[in-house]
Amino acid sequence: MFLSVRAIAAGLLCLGLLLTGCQKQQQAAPETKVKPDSARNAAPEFALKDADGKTVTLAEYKGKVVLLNFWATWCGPCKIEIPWFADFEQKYKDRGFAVLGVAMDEEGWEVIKPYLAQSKVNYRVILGNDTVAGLYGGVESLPTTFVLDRNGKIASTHVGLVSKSDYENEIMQLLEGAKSSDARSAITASNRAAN
Amino acid sequence: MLGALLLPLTAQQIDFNSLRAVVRLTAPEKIAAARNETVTVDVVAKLKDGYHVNSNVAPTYPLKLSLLENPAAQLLNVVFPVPKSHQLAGETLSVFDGEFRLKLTFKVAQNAPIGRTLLTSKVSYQACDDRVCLRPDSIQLKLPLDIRN
Repeated sequence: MFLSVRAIAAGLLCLGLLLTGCQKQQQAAPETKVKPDSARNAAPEFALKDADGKTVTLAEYKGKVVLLNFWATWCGPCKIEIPWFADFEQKYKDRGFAVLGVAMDEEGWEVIKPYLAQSKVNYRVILGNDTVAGLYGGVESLPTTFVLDRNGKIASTHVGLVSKSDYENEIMQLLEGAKSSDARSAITASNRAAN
Repeated sequence: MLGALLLPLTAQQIDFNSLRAVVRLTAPEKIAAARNETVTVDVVAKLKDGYHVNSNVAPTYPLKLSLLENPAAQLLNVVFPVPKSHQLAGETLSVFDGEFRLKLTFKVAQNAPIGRTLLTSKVSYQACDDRVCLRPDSIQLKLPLDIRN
């Protein structure tokens, strides 16, 4: 009896350690909100002006993974993210990635341009409006960020500040996912050619 | 939000669970004053936990309190509390948080109609917590004023 109690206790201890280990593993896993391809909706199209007055459409970005960030110069949490996005632009632009900032300042370029210069933003910024915000669910709070896949579909949405690593994991997942899907297409094509 | 704008009460029925509803205003249920009298009213603002609004001296979207135009009364002055400093993204912001009082002073017009008048105060603000900022907004609060001779 004594032995069986010890055996049960040891068993429970092992189970506990196992569960704790699992839990730790779950905690360590990077958080990602990337939806499966089948659950993604097309990002609404828009035509907005950049700082040079040039019209920018989302269609221009088809084939790229896009981080579409609604922000404003009066938004403190947005300012935390902006250097991260500049970093992503630099690191991943050659792999088919782009950041597109949508500034929601009602005062327009008069306040946006000085901020962009001061904060060394290296990605494209366009001036948003309520119509476009409406297309994206209203964008009542900032930052609101959509990560789009190469087909212009919304793969993830973030309202408020999230961690840099969360964004980076999603970007990587979409860049690599697209690559493996391209590889799959290439394999299928070469198989067809062989047959 | 529209409900709050139309509510003829001195306290707003704000559901703090709603994302945009972060500021609740209350004021005395009844204000009594004579024609030509100067009146000071405390408007109490309570913010949703974790949120702050730009103070009245903040450079962008400062907190403002005004009276909508009404021939019965004219706004003379608003006294704001001392702002707090809040650090975010390497900047020091001038903010109000928690619960604070705004002292609104107005003068009843000499020819104001005797009886009940509803003044409307308007508070314009821009609120954030450390994760998210809400777009600039305003709310209104009715102030029932009983004017006597």
